[in-house]
This record gives sequence, C-alpha cells and structure tokens, in this order.
Amino acid sequence: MTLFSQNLRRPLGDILFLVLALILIVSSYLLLWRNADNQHQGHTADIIVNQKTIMTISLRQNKTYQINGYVGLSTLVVYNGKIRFSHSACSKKYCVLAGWHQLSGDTAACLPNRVLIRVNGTPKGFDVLNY
Amino acid sequence: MYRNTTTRSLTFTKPITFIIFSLHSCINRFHQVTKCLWWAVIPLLLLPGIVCANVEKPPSKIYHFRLLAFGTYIELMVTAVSQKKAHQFKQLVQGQFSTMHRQWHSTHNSVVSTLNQGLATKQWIPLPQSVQALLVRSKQLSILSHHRFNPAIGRLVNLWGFNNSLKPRSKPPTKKDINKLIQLKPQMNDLEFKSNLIRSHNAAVQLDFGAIAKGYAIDRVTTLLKQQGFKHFIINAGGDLKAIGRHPSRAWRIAIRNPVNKSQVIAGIIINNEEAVFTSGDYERYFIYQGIRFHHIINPLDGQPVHHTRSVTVIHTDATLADAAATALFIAGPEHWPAVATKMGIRYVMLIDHKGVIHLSEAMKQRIQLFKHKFLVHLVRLKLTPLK
Repeated sequence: MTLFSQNLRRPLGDILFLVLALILIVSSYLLLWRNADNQHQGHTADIIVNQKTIMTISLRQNKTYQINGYVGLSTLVVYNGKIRFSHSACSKKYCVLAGWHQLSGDTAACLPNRVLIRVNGTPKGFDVLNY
Repeated sequence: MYRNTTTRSLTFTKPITFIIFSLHSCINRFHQVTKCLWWAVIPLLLLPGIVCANVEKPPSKIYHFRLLAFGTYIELMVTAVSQKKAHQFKQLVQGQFSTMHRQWHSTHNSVVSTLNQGLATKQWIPLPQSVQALLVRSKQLSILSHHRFNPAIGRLVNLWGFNNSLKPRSKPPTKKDINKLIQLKPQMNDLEFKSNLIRSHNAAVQLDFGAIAKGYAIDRVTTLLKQQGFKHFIINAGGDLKAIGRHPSRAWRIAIRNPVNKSQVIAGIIINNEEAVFTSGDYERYFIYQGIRFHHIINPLDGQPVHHTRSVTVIHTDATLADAAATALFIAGPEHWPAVATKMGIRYVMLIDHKGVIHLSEAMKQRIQLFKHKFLVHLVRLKLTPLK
C-alpha cells in the first residue's frame, strides 16, 4: 500500500461512517416520527351493551355486526381499522352522525339503545383522551 | 490531503484490499466517536438512579372502570389503592352520579323539571336543597360570562330538540318561534332567592344545566373522593375530565382530539396535580338539514347554533368553572373570547375557529404541546390578575 492509498482510505472510511450515520438518522425518523399518527390508532374495540362488555373485536378486519340493544338493533361496521354505527334504533341518530372512530380512547354511544363502542387503549404516551 | 488521480488508479487495482481498509477506517472512526459518547453517557446513566432514589413511588397498578351516567359514558382511573378500595371508589362515583343525574335532568320527572313548572308561575316556591348550590353558582357564572353561559334558556334548547332524547328534530325551528323566545329574554338575573324560596320575574325562564352539570358533578364527587383518602385518579365524563394527583411514575398526561379530524390528536397537556380539562365542540350532537349542520351549542342572544367556532378547550382547577367557561367562550367566539375569559378568570384557553385558526392564550401556549397540524396559531395575552 502506498502513502497515497493509505491517505485515501481514511477520508473514504469517514464518508462511509457518515453515510451509515445518515441512514441511521433517516430510518429512525421514519420509524419513530413519520407514523406518529398511527401510534394513536387503536387495534381493538369493546362493544358494551347496558354497561357490560359483550365482545372485544379487532379493527383489522372488514365486518358488520348486528347488536341487540335496549330498544332494538344497532349495526356496527368495521372497515380498514375504523369502526362506526351505520344504523341504530334510536330517534336522533347522533351515534350514526358521529361517523368513524379509530383513535385510541375514543368512544361512540347510542344512549337510547344503551350500546357503546370504545376503541381500546389511549393515544400513545397519554393516559386519557379529551374531546 | 494528498489526493490525485494517480493514487486512485493505484488503489482500484486492489479493490478488495481497498474496501477492507475503508471499512477498517470506518470502524476506527466509530470507536473514536463511541469512546467520546461513552464518557458523556455515563453521567446520564447515573442521573435517573439519583433522581428516582429521591422520589416516592406510589403502587403502580391503575384500576379502570366504566359506567353510564349524565347521558354519557364515564371512565374512571384510580391508582395507589388496593383492589378493594378501588371498587369502593367506583361504587361511590356511580352512586353520586346517578343521584345527581336524577335530580338535575330537566326533562325527566326530576327536581329541576318540577322547579321549572313552579318558576313559570312567577310565584315564590320552595328551593330544593339538592339544586340550591348549583343554581347559585350558575347565576354567578352566567353574570360573569355576560350571559353567554345562560342556563335559563331551557325552552330554546327544547325548541331545537337537543335536550329531549325522545323527540327528534330533522329541521330547524322557524325564525318566528325562535324570535318569540328570544324577545322574552330569559336570564339568570330574573331569579330571586329568599332563604329557601325562589321565584322568577320572567315566566320564560326554564332551567337547563346541560352546560354546567357535568363539571359541577365532577367537582362534588372529587371533593368526596379526596375526603375518603383517594389521592391519584381521573374522572373522564364523555371526554371532559378532572385529574387528581399523579400517574404511578409521572404526571397525568392528557391528549386533546383534533375537532376537525377525529382520528388525530391535536395537542397534549401535562396535569399539574389537580386540574380539569373541558372541551366544547360542534361535533357531538347535531342534525343536518338541506346540507347545513345545526349543532347543540345555541347562542342565547340570537337563538341560533354558533357557526364561528369549532371547539374550545379550557383548563382550570375548578371543573364547574371550566365547563361553563368552555360553553361561554365557544359562544363568544374568536372575536370576544378574550374579554369573557378575562372576566371569568380563565388563563388556559385554546379556541379553534371555523377557519381553522387556533387561538391560544399565552399561558396555554406555555402548557400545551401542539402536534402536527395545518392550522394557523394566533396568540392572545389575557390581562388577568395574578394568581393568589
């Protein structure tokens, strides 16, 4: 190895080191921050009827559930990680108008029918959700 | 540096050797950097041990309970207690909330519905003990809010159909019907108290405590729980909450949902020992008529749902005040909220208007951590008297 080549390998080694460091920084950003919103999303939901949890369902499926409540049927739709009331036997349909729910700790209730959905968990790093 | 083209041509004749030497150099540099970092890391590793040694740790288990009351879903979290004590906690909260709901609901056969019938006669009638304190506090806060928070407009709330859960309204009431009620100007000032008696000088006064009952109930239950020795807990009534004490290992942390995109958290708050966080939003109870959304927060001055605001979040140690203020500031809107907040003594306010601008009091800016959002932020300095 000549003097020239010995001196050349050092800056190239430094460049390699910097490239690896850069890859580490970019990948950790992508891993920890880019999907920060997804970290707040729940993966399961409890279906509660008359204050009793009747089932815990996965939100990683596309399925429709018919739930027998206090005044009639409530229809719940699970689609693409989200859940909502699509129909309920109540008069004002606030539960249906409330739309999709996917944030951990979020709830939706059809109070006349006493049917309640709770997306399990809390947003990552928090104890409770205010809304 | 000794770089020239001749050197490169020499090096490329032995590519494997060159790669090995480069890698070796890279590893050497890595060793140098980690060596330096290590000396910086040692004190940092020791620091948590030193800090933790001086902090008293409560037992780590957090007990979770759920119940339905006040027409909403209530979540309870309690820590630093035994399992038996945690169940006592739940029973106590459930009993208190059920009793208060029965007494204060304005449309069921309740104490308040009987009181409303008596107030319409404009005669002196007995003031039930169970609502006396709530009524007095409501009148005080209504005056402070320049009547933006006005529990005397029960008739207007009924007219819009946001109170009675059995009668749906698919279209808004007529302007004629609304104006008829507005012109009667029902206000809390119309009420007169004399020992255990009450009368209204205005037959149009009908009480609806929907904008304060939850906060008042939480305060009452919290006081009782603290008397029973509970020091670390959260009562979350349909997204409005009061947090007391601490999480087993740190302060309680509250996430605030984005009112525009419900799947996102817009901000986070760390609780200082005992605080209530209340949010009033236009997204909970509403109906759509001819493409227009009519929500449940009615302006007592014009009888219409408020359209200039999406949500208001208030932090205060007093949940009753936080509840009433969230509604009052929502109605006051982006233009008038600073005056109302100052009058009511509210330091921590976040208002999101219909254009998507976040209005923050300067004190709130210090407390809140805003997450990724596309809103503009407008800071407002409130001229409040210093805390005593």
